[in-house]
Amino acid sequence: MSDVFDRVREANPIKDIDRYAEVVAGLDEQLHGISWRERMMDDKPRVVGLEPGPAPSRRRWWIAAAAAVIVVAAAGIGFALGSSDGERADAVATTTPVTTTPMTTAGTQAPVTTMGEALTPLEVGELFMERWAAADFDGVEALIDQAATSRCYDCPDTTIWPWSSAKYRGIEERTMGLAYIGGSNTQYSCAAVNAMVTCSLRIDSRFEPNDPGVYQGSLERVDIFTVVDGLITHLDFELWPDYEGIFSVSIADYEQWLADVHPDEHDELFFLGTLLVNDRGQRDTHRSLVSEWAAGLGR
Amino acid sequence: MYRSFPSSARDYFDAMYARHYRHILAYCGRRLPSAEALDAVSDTFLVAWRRLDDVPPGPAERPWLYGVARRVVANHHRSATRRRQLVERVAGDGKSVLEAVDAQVLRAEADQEVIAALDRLGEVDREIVLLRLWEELTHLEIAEIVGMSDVAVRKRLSRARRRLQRLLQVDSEPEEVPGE
Repeated sequence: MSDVFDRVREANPIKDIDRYAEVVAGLDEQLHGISWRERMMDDKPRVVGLEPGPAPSRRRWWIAAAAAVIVVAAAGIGFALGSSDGERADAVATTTPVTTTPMTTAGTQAPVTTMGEALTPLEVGELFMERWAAADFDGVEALIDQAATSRCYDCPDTTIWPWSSAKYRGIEERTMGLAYIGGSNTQYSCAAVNAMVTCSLRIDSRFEPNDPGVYQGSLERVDIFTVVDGLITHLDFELWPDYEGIFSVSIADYEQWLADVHPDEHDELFFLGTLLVNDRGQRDTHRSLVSEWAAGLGR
Repeated sequence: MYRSFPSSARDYFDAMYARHYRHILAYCGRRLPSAEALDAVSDTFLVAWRRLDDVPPGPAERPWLYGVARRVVANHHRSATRRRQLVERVAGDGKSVLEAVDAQVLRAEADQEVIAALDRLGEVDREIVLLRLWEELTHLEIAEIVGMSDVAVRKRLSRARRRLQRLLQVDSEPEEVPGE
C-alpha cells in the first residue's frame, strides 16, 4: 500500500533535472534561431493607423504588426463586402495616443449614444480605454453588450458581461495591478475599420520607491473590439508579457507588506494573490496604501 | 549579499546561476511547457540580477529564487500565448528537439488522476505540497517562499494530505513525510 504523497512524488514530471536541462538546452537554441530569422525577415513595423508610443520598445513592432495585419485584413474584408454593396470600407484611426498620467480623471457614466445616435466603433473603443483608465467600471460595462464574448485560449469563448466577474478583467488586474494603481504612465491609441476597433495600450511602470530599476518595466496589450450599434459584442486581446517579471514581483511585494501591516485591508483588497479593483473607491484605497508602502521603502 | 564576496557582482551572479539554474529550470518545467519554462527561468534570473542586493546569502539563496520563480510562473500562465505560437512553428522547423523535451514531461500523463487531485487543492496548499515533494525543500525553506511560518506550512501539508487521500481514496495509513 502506498501513501498518497508517494503517488504525488511519482507524478513528478521531471525527476532527473540534469537530463531535463540537457534536453531543454537544445530547444532553447532552436527557438532563438527561429526568433532571429523572423526578425530578419520582418524588421520594419507595418503600422496602419497606430501611433507608436514615445518610448521605443524592442517588442513594440509586434503590436504594430499585429494591429496592422488586423486592420489591413479587416479593410480587405470590408472592401470586398463594401464593393458588393457599392460602398467603400471606412478606415478611421486616432493619430495621437492619449496620455492619462496621473490617472485622476473622474470617470463618468456617459451615455453610449450621442444625440440619440449610437457611438461609432472608434468612439466606443476609445471610451472603453478612457473609462478603464479612470476605473469607471460601470461606464465600461455600459459599453458592453450583455451577450458579448471574449476569446478564451484552450476553452470556448467566455462571456464578458457582467464586467465585474469577467475573466478578462481578472487577467488585467493580476498582470497590470500595480502599474494601474501605482503611479504609472498609461497610453493608448485606437484605429477602426468598420465594426472592428484595435486599441494598443502601453503601461510604463514608473513606480520607483527607492531603488531605480527594481520595479521599472513595461507591459503592452492590444484589444480588438467588435462593435455593433454602439455596443461591444466581442473582445479579443493579446497581452505582451511582463518579460522582466516586474509587475508580478511588485504586486507580490505589495501584497506581502499589506498582509503584514494592514491584514484587514489585505483581505479586502486581495483574493488568493489577485489584486482586487472593483470600483474607483477600491482603486483609491490601493493608491493610498501603495503610497504608504513606497514611503516605507524609501526610508 | 554579493558585496561581501571578493569577486565582482557579475562573478557572484554567474556562480549563483550555475548553482541554481537546473533547479529553477526543473521548477518552471514542472509547471509550464518546456519552451515557456525557458522564458520563466530567464525572467527569474533577470529579476535576481536586478535585485542582487536583496538576494540572501547562503542556504536562503535558492528559496529566494524559488520565490521569484513562483511569481514569474504565475505570470507566464497568464501571458504565454506568443511563445506558444512560436513553439507551434517549431514543428515546421524540425520536431526532434520538441519531441525529446516532451518525452521528458510525458511521464506525468501516466498519473493524471494525481494531477487532477492536486488541481483541486487550494493554490497555496498545492504549491506547498509540490515544493515539498517535487522540489524536496524543507519546511523552513517553503515557509520562506510562501511567506508563512514553518508551523503553518506543516499544518497545510497535513491538511493537503488528508484532502488528497479523500480525493484519491487511498486507504492506507499515511507515512511520515521525511523531515516532518
